[in-house]
Amino acid sequence: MIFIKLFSKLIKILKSGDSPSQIAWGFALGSIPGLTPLFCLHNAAVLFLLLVLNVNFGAALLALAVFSLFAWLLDPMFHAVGYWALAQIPALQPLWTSLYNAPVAPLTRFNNTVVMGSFLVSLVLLLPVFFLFRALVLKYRNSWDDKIEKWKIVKAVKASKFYDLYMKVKGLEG
Amino acid sequence: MRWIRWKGLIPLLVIIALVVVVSLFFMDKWMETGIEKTMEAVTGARVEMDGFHFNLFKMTLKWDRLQVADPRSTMQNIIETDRTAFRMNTAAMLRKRTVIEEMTLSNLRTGTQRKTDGALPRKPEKPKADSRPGPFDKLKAQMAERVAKLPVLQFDPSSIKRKLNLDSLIAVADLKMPARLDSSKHRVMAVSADWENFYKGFRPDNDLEKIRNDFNSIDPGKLKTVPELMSALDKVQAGQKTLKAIQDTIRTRRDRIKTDFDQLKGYAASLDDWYKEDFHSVMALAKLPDLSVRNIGMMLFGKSMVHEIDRILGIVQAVRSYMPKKSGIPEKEKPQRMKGQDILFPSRHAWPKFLIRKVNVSGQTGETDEAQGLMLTGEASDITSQPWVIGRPTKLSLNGKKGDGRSLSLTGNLDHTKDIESDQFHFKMDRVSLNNFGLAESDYLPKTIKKGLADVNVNADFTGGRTAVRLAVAARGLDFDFPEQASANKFVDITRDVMRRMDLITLDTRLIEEGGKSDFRMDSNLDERISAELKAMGSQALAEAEGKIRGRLDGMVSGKRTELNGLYGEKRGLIEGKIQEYEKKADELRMAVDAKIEKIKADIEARKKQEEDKLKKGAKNLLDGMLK
Repeated sequence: MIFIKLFSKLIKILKSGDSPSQIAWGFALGSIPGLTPLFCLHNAAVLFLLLVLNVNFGAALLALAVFSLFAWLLDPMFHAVGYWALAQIPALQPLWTSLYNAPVAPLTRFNNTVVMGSFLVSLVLLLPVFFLFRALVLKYRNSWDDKIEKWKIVKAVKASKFYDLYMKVKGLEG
Repeated sequence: MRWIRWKGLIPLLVIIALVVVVSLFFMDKWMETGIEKTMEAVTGARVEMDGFHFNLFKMTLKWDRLQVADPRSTMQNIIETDRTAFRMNTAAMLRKRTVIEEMTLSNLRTGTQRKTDGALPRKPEKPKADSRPGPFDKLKAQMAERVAKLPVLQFDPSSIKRKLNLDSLIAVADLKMPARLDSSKHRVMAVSADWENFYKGFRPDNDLEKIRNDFNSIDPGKLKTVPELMSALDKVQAGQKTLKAIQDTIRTRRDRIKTDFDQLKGYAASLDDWYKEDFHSVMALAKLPDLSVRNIGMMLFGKSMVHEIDRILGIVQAVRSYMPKKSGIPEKEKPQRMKGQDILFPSRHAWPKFLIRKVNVSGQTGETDEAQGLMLTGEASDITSQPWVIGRPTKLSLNGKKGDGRSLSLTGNLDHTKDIESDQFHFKMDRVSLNNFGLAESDYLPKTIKKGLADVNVNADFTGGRTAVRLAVAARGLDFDFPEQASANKFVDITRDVMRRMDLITLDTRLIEEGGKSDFRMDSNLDERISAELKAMGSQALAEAEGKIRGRLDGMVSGKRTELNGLYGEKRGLIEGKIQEYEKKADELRMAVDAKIEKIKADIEARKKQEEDKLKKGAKNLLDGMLK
């Protein structure tokens, strides 16, 4: 059910009035809290950006849901990357020590291997995710929209009682 | 398109406002619950805080009442405090460190009654993420095993005679002495047979006879000339040479015979050991009680003492888990999923993650003001989760006194600032009440001590890999509330009787572990007293049983033993006698030959002199004739 929900959410976002870049930036920024532990101080900054910048908030929520699924699987890699960055690069030690002794910075839990590792990975993936998702939006709008509407599975879903019920509920929600 | 969405600030402000409001209303509850749960995880019993308040702006924390239930007696509190307030260091807090400069726990009480049960609800045990054994787990298991392996003493003097079935014991016991005696006898016979075979081929009589005949045929008195004498001397000397060779052979053989029989004689030295071995084997099967039994103190109080030492080791284990020793570059761990590993960096402010610089304690052990116990005062300094950051050991000191002579003192020095951690504790309590004191389950003692007083002294030193704990208890006026009726086990009756009569019972428990080797022992004045009672009661029955076993063993082996000794003596006498006889004959002949050689040599010298004189005289006469 969750996949049907995510799929219909995705279609709705792709069809929204926002520009492809707005949607892609929303998705890319949403990947950061998706990949990193949610209740960390840096995610407050991401939330601030999502609210203040004119990006698609729905895409961010979608990315949060999608990337959270991957985060659990990638946890050992985040730990390894975080340990490498925090403990195995002598040149960075003065920086980490300064941050460790600076006010507020320790509250971000930057010295935790999973927080640091997942944050670095999400930063590295930020632009690729943006460009990939932007390309996806463009491709959808230019050529996939009509084709997907004709898919038997989409028709079947739309014809089902469940879809009717879903649409009614959605209508009630406004 | 505009990239800034100013309208977005509205929900942001709403979220911030919500967070602030919710925090203001619920932060106290959240923090209180968090602290309670954390402390419950450590103590294993319910922790309750009343009137908790955290002031975010002043960074102060206070509670009106704190109750920590006793996990061993959950209707009592192990600690209860009144209003307590302290300030946290704001600058440290902003760096995610909890630093409390000074805290005062006044009117602290122990042993107060609870209105509700302080037991935590039982939860199904979850497998621990970190299942590594604690540093003292092996030692605890060794101690428990040592006590569990102590025999359950059953003593019944009359049953010793009744149960002693010698026939079945001898049948089951693998007695070695009869077979060993037989084996020794066969060896004596084999060695003797070898030498008897040797004698069959060894006949020096003929050679000796020939030498004798040659020697007798020479009579120096009948030989007139020197050449005749010289020829006789050569002949006798040739005989002497042959005789010497025979003598050498006889001596070599004599020495070998001696060596062989001396080696055989070795069995005699082992006879007593063989006998003891068989005797102990039968005794072990007979399972006669050892009246010189030791470790009685450990049998009686071992489980209770192990329980107390377990608690001490548990406290140190917990302390060490919360106050780890200094370590270098953090080893990469395999943390729980999505938890990660915290990498620590040098702290420029010397603020560890958690620090209470000083705690002042005052209070009492009594439950109420009316029923006061010991008046307590004490302090602790540098309680921290990262001792190496502040570079000072944690020090504890607590003293308690009461007018009736009761006193308590606890000192501790926990140095985890270096690579080798060192923890030392000294705890002393005088005249502690043992009224209704619970004992660990025992085959010999009731579950509780009804009445009594004790002096308790604990010294514990945990430095590096070495553990040394000494727990000494001197208990007076003990009343165990033993049942009136006699026990089926005489040992229990003796124990009860002795303990009733003793004014002072001492238990001195020592545990030392170093390099994987552990030594756990307990000395008690009960050992000697109870052992003496046992001996007095059971020594006659035991002596009789032992005598029976000895008598049966003697009957089995004494015949064989006498036979072996006789055979050995007979064979040795025979074999050695023969060679000694040959030796005697050869020696006698040798003496005669040597004497004759000396006689011939003397005759030769005399003849030579005679001839010389004769020649000289002839020459003189000739010369005189020529000169005339």
